Amino acid sequence: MARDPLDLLYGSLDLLILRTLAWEPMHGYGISNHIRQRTAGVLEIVDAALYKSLHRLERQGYIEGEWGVTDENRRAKFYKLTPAGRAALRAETSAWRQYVAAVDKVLEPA
Amino acid sequence: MPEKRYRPSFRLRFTRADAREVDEEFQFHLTMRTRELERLGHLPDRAREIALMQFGDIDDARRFCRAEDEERMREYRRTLWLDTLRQDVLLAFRTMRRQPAFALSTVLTLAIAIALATSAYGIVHAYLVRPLPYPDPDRLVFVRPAPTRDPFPNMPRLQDVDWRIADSVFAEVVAWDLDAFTVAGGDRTESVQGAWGSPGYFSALGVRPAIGRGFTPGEFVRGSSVVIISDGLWSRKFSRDPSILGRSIRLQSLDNPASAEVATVVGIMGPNAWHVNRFTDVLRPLPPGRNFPPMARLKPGVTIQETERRLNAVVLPQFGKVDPNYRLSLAGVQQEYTWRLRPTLLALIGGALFLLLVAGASVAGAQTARAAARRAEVHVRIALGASRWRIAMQLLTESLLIALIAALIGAGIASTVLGTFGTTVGQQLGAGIPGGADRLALGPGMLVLVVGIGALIGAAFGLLPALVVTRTVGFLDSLGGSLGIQKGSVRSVASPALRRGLFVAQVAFTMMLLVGAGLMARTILTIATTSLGFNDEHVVKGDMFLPPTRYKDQAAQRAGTERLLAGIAATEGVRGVATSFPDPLRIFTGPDVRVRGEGTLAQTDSGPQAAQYVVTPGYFDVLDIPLRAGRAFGAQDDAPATPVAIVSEGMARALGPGQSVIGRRVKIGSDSIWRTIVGVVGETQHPVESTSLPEIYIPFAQDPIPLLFILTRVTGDPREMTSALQRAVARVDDGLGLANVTPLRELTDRATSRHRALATVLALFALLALGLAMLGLYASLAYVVAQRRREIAIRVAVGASAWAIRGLIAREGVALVGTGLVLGVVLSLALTRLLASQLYGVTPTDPSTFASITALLGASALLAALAPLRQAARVQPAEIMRSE
Repeated sequence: MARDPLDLLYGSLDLLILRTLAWEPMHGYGISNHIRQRTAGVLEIVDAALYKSLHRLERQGYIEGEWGVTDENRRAKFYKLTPAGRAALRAETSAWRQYVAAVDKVLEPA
Repeated sequence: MPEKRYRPSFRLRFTRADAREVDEEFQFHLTMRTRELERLGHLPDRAREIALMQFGDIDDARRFCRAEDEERMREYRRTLWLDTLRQDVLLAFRTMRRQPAFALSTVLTLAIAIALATSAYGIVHAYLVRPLPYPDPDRLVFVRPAPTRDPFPNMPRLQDVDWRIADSVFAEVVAWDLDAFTVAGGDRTESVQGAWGSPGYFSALGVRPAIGRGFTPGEFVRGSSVVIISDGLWSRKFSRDPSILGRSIRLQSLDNPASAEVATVVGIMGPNAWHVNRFTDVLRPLPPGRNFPPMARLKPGVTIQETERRLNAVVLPQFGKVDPNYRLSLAGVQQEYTWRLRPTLLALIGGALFLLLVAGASVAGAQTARAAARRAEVHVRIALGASRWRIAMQLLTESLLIALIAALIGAGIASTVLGTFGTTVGQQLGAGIPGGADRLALGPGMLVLVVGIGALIGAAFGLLPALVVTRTVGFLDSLGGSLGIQKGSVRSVASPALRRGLFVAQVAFTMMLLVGAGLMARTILTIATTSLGFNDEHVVKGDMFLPPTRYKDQAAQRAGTERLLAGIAATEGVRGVATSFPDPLRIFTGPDVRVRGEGTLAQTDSGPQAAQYVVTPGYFDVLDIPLRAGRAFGAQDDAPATPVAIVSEGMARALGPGQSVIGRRVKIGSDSIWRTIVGVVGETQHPVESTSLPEIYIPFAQDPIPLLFILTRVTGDPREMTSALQRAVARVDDGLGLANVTPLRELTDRATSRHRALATVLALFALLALGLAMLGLYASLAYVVAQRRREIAIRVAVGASAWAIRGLIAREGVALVGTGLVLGVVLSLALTRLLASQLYGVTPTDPSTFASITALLGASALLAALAPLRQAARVQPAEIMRSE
């Protein structure tokens, strides 16, 4: 396993999942792949953490899991964003941007 | 990347977390990853290994995810339940709004019944259930002689016993001695009731003044000069002046003339002070001595029976020679306080419960009929996938909601009623609410109980319609509905057996209430129409006693009484005045007032028991008691003259059946002197409940008593004579006071108030029940008519007359009412026995009452049936056929 990924800041995995699901409903494996591809391997996530995050988000009502079948006719649990999840994504995204901007300001060469 | 199209195949309406789901999800992930790695050139085993490694701590993730899933399901079930409840409640409200009249009448019916039942229970609770407000009241007992046979030749005088021995039997002796006092102060001297209490009286009964202090142990001695006064006396005499504390007042005791005449007020009782014994205005410390303890506290761990045995073992030997059957008995304080009320209270709660049953049956009947009518709605909902369980729950929710609203309203009404009428209830029942009138109010616990019971009733009566609908709704049934007049379809509707059963129960319970009310009404009527034998109108009664310090002997008492009566007689508005002992409403049988005659008159053994009255000559005139033979008392019947007596007609008959008793001589009780009968007067009646005894009268002048019940016949309103009479007394002797000045009519009314109150309440219950039963019959028949319209239409079409149609419907009504009446009569016959002790002049199975109540119910039923019958007769066949 070749990875030296950035440790995901606590909570940012939730944000990535929500963002991914905003695209379309997806199962856990799909989400994992999607995040890896979109970040070109910079953010490699531990799958165990991803599933923990998924089930927590589902309990919190931000996403909803439903069993369906894949194109290959395999049973898989698909997650989709709920209206509450969409709202949370908006709020979290802007909070994240502010956070990043703040950190940037600090890191800027004076 | 293997993108998957979102294609939900089926929705899992899971309500329970499945642990295998997490495994399946992880397995899917690992399989996909492994295949991806294989495609990238890894060997299958290696690929699986890498996938697992990339996944991380799979066991931890599994645990965590399962826990999250379970939590999510728990929340889901919770919201699902709340959601369903909310839906059901909303639907119930919507249904109620759709038929507001139905909802309102249902809620009101139940609310009134619950309010009445709650109020009735509140009263019963205050008297019979809640312990008396004394410390450890279960261990307090009354001590009283228990004559097992009457009479006893040597009645022991309880006062002569050395009661110090009681200390060896009881943990604490609660002794008091009732007394009367004249209290000076204010604008006139007043006679009041008072009591001397032992230390135990204050400690065991928790008697404590609201202002000031109680008595100290050192004050329970002979000659102590302290006093506690009542709130009432404080208001009347001292205008609630707080500075009275520590000041001395002048008061004179009747029974203990040697006691201090000046006493310092150390305490004032609260306005709601309540005593299990008579209420008193003056309390003084009882010095230790030979006083009979009316009450005592049992020793810890010793039963009431054992204590009774020990008490008799130490007390009886002191009496010397007594009847071997004589003994003392003990009775629980609460039992003793309430035994007289118990039948009234039980009748009250019984009546309220029956009304509640009638109301419940009426609501359930209406709901059942309506539930059947709502089958169309239920069909639709079942077709849409609702389970029978859900529909039953929905109907149950509706009933529960109605019952809850009704219970809340009922509890509110009851709470107001009880809070307002505490004093009235105490007066009507003739014994104050234990602990004071304000203790009648419902506590929070009781209110919760009421609402809970209301909900239970709702559940019970909601269950019936719920069962009916869910059981009868079926495919065939709905098919049958469209086939119309098919035989049996009418029968299958609305579970007629249940509906009829409810109605029959309603009629039967109503019958019982009506019979109870009818019997009580007859009782009241008898009381009202039975002549008292004396005229209580325009007569005022006042109590007074002559202090022995100034009226030392019988001669002084005789002279004093003559002066007083003369003074009152001279007052404007007074037509006549007399005194008697006791007053005409009371009977003193004394230890043994038996009259034995001389010669051919009844002898000792069979001598009639008598009610003895000591009266002044004007007595018969003042009370309008007719003289039947001989003469009334006159001035000539004074002390030195021949002892004389006057007997009532009943006594004359008892003494010498068939002979004239005038001029014959009698002895009363253990008297040593013979009295010559000089006259016969009319019989007088004593209030209900006292044993009726024939009277014998003795002239006051020949047997003066310092306690006077002064009866004055006035021309005007007796209530306005109080101060005139008191002024008249004060003019004769300003050290005397006339107490408890009350119109005699008020006193005779009070003696029967409990019966009148019970009659009124039962009548109210019965009328409500009758109204409900009539509504029930109306609804029942109207429903039958509606259900059988098609059948009727066809009958009319083939030539049935209007009368035949009416008969068809009437048969249904007659069967229902008839069954109810028969059942009601049987139940009433069984239950009116319980009312027997409250009845007067009528037997519990009085045929005329039963007959008239049956007729009343029958007539009411006919009235209720009129509209449905008319409706049935007006069914137009063409109209029905068109509407099909």
